[in-house]
Amino acid sequence: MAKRTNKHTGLTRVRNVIRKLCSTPLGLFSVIIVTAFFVVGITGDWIAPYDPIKLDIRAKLQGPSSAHWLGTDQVGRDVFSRLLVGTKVASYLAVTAVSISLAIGIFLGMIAAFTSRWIDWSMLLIFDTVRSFPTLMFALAVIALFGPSINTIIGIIVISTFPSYARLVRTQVLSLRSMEYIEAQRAMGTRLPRILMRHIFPNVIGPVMIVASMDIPLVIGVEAGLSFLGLGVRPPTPSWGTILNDGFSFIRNTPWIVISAGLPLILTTVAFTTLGERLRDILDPKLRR
Amino acid sequence: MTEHTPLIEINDLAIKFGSHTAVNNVTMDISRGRIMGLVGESGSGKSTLANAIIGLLPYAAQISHGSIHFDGRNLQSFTAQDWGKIRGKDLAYVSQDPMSALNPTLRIGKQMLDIQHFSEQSTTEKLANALAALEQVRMPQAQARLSMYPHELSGGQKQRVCIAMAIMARPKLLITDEATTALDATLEVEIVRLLKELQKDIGCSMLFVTHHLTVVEELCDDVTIMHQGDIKECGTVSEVFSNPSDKYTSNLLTCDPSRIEEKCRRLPIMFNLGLKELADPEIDRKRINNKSRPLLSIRHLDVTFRKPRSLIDILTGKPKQRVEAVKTASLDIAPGETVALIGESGSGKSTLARAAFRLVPSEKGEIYFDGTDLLSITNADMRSFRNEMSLMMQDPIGSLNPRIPVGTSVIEPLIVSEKASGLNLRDEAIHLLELVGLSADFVDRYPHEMSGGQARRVGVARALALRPKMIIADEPTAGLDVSIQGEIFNLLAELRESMSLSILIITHNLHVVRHLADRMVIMYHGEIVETGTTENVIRAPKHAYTKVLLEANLQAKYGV
Amino acid sequence: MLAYAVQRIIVSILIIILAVTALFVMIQFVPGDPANVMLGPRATPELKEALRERLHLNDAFIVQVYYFFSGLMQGDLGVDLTSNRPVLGILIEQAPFTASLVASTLLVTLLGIPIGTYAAVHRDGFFDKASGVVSVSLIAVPPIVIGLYLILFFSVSLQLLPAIGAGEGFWEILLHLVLPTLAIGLTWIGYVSRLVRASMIEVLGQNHVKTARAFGIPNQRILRAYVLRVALPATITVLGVSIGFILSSAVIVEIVFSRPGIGKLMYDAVISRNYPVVMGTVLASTVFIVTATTISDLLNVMLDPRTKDEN
Repeated sequence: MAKRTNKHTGLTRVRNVIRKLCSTPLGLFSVIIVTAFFVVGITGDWIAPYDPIKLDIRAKLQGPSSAHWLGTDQVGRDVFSRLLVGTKVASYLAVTAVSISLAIGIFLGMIAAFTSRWIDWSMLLIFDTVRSFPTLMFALAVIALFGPSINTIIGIIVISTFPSYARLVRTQVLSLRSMEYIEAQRAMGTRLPRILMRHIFPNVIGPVMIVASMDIPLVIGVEAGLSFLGLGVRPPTPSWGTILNDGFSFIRNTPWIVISAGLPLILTTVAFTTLGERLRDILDPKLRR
Repeated sequence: MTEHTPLIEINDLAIKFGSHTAVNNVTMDISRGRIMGLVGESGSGKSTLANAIIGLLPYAAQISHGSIHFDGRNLQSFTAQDWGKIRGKDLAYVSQDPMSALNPTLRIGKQMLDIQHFSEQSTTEKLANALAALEQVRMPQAQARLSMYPHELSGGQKQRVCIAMAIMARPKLLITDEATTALDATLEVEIVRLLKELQKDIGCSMLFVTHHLTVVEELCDDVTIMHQGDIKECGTVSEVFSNPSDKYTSNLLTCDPSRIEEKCRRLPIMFNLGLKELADPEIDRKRINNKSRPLLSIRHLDVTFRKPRSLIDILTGKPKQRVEAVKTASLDIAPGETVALIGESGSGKSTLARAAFRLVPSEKGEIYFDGTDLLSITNADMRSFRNEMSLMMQDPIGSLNPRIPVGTSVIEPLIVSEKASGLNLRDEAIHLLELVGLSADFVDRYPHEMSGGQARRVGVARALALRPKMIIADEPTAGLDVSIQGEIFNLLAELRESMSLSILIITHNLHVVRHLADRMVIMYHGEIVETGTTENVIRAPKHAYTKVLLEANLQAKYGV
Repeated sequence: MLAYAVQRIIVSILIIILAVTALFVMIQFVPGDPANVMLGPRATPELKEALRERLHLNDAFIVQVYYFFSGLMQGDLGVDLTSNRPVLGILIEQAPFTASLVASTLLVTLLGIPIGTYAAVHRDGFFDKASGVVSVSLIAVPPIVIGLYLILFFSVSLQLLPAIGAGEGFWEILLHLVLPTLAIGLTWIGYVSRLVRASMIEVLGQNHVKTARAFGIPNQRILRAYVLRVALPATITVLGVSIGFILSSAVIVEIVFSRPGIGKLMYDAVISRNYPVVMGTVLASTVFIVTATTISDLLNVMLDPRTKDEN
């Protein structure tokens, strides 16, 4: 260990992590799919070969062909184009919901770890309360009250995921707080904000990010489920869940709609989980030595 | 198979972890009925060798060459069933860390039943055996322990359970891997004596793995010295200790601070034995300024911890439990003076140091630094005093932020106290590192890329960044190999002369610290029980506990 | 142990009270008049007033909460707005369908324990690697996708298993449970097997296992009492948490498979804005989840005496 003297900055460290990620077939697969997920999420509208909401009743429920790679649905819309454009909803939700939830979770978790025992205890109680709502049932109740919309979905996901981030951050901070290097900082008179930002936050963020990357499939699943139930994204806007629902009505005779709408869901969720697992293997200091 | 062949014969054994060779062509015997001490510093391969004998090498390790014979049988040809027949019967093992050596989810009695799986006896009889074994290792309230869980026992008690389990097997070979290292000195002596006694009773051979030369001298018949996977020397204890033939061994023996009888100003180190210089009372007298008021003066300090109550305690109106960590402690340190605060784990010595930095709240008393009571000033005022005294934490690597390069960690105090402006921080970092004997290229290293000794030097450099008047060092040599301990002490000794530093060393290691300390303060159960000059405390201890501590620390042959 | 149990149960009751209160707070934030929302725009003012009176909507917030809890104490959860039947009765009628689905899913999930154990003991072997790839693939796939694919394969193509309804008679009920259970459970088998494997490998490397080995304790005994026993608490915690997710997935699965149950009930209530039924189902599922996590916590303390002190 004492042999290494080369200077490594943050940038080369990121590069090293990516190189290690891509060194196994599964890791490479996850990196490619995740990248594609976000790229298609941004560019879906432009790269889709057909207008995803344009009706063409004459071409309804056609099987896969060279014109329509994944066939058409009950009103003749191109399923492939609808799936590409549907990526937008999934990636938008994945980014916004998870980052809002992360921000709230990290903030509250840090507060819980550094306040008095009573406030900490009450916050834990609230976190556990929120966690005791089953996500989809909670979602149904909220939608019953506020009506379906993409913002409602974001709200639901944020509320049902931030407590686990907050709890994770809290335990991480508590264990870090008793570390000797934090105590050494306190002894030399370092102010709390500096201890938090420079010495605690960088050591907390890694594990939380890994959990977050593994939560993205959950977000995608909740959206697909709600849209499937007709309580998420409103038609005709395409989303993977609404396409599944379209296909479900015709599952006996035209199964390709369900099959094709399931594929991107499977690919992305598997990719994000694999990515999270690989990242944990690479970054977890317990496994590194 | 005759009584004359050795019990264990190791021939040309090599063990590899991947490409790294941990044990390198080792040949060694363990004779019947004798105690073999296996001594080496961290990374010497001594534990790996012990693990190989009992067939429990870690997942990544591989025997690449050679053989081990036990009682004439080749252990490499053993199947899992064969191992099952000799482990716990012919071979017994006491592991390194008593805290984790027992199953946390089973009661002690259950675990002691489990290891008697060979026996045809009834459960009642087996329990009686367990009780007898616990009594044999002098476990207090042995009967009650059987129904306890490991977490309800202290470290020493757990180690007694482990030893009781080992002797219940009545083995031919008892292997102990650093079995006393985690224990306090007084307890260590007790356990070592117990082991010797039990070994005589059973008449077994014993392999005693340790880094502690003095214990080997007291306990063992034979000794093997290992260094970086090689055997450096092997022989009877009296031979090796009085007349070592290998240079490494003789250097190791010469450098061990606890084996140097007279007080030294500079200790010899592995690569420079000539460095040794005896303490000069004249120089020491000049260094200490006894005329002015003390630099640090702790008066009647009380530190009390309140255990948080659980919800049920609050509902039932149970009062808060209080633990008095420090009880009316008083302590003075003159400018330039080095004081050693000595006590065992849980004696309150580290709490006292933390209280001086206001890291833990003090209940009563005063702490004067240069005439100002630190307990009565505001946090903002306290900050300026934090520049004048620095605290070195116990764990050399753990006290550095793992994500920040060493060069940045070292100058952190300058930035925090806003004294960094106008300085070239990189030059300053290099300067500080060179001050403690590290080269400039350490600036960009990360804590995990250093050895314990190097990290400790970085800790010293950081403590010196603001040119403080005083350093409080918590166990500055704990976890360091004997050959490094002297280096760290020499460093502190040089710095206190060149920078006229006051030093408070907190330690349980009386025999090492006596070279450096001008005065000793002994702490026991939160109270300071004895204070005096190093010479006086060692020559004529007053308090009963000090006597026990001295006896445990310094060997009888030093005439204590 | 008893003191800990009492404390844990007090906390659980607090959580349920907080959860219900939170729902009431949310109802307060509903834009517009709840009666309007429930009855639709064509309701007469008299009808709306009657509904407000019945649901105590005209009273202060705290009074509403009081009415709800005092009703709860007497087993009164209000009345279904469409059928006028008591909500409690409807819940009791629908609960067995969901309970059997959750129970069979949990049972299937337990399969993850032997799978994970075997993978950990034969680490890096073929089974370990294969089960690893399969588990990771299954962990995140939403139950809706698994459910639809299962229907496609087993009901539409092979016509082996029923995909609609809950069935009547023991065998029919069992057959009707297979696909819904797998739709939720496959994910959890993967998750639990990974978790058991990881914690087993960690425990296998611990010092006390080495001690047990050094005493020649037979391998089976070591695995059961020294490894699994120490590794299991983490798994039980996850199983406790999994109840919430299983219940959550039950909503989707009950609709996909046209099964009666709490999830379907809730979905229909949401669509028809039947507030008392929504409240009732949320309360029932929250109580169920809190009970499950409490039991898993208590089991944990029984298995690992140290956890009590850490909490």
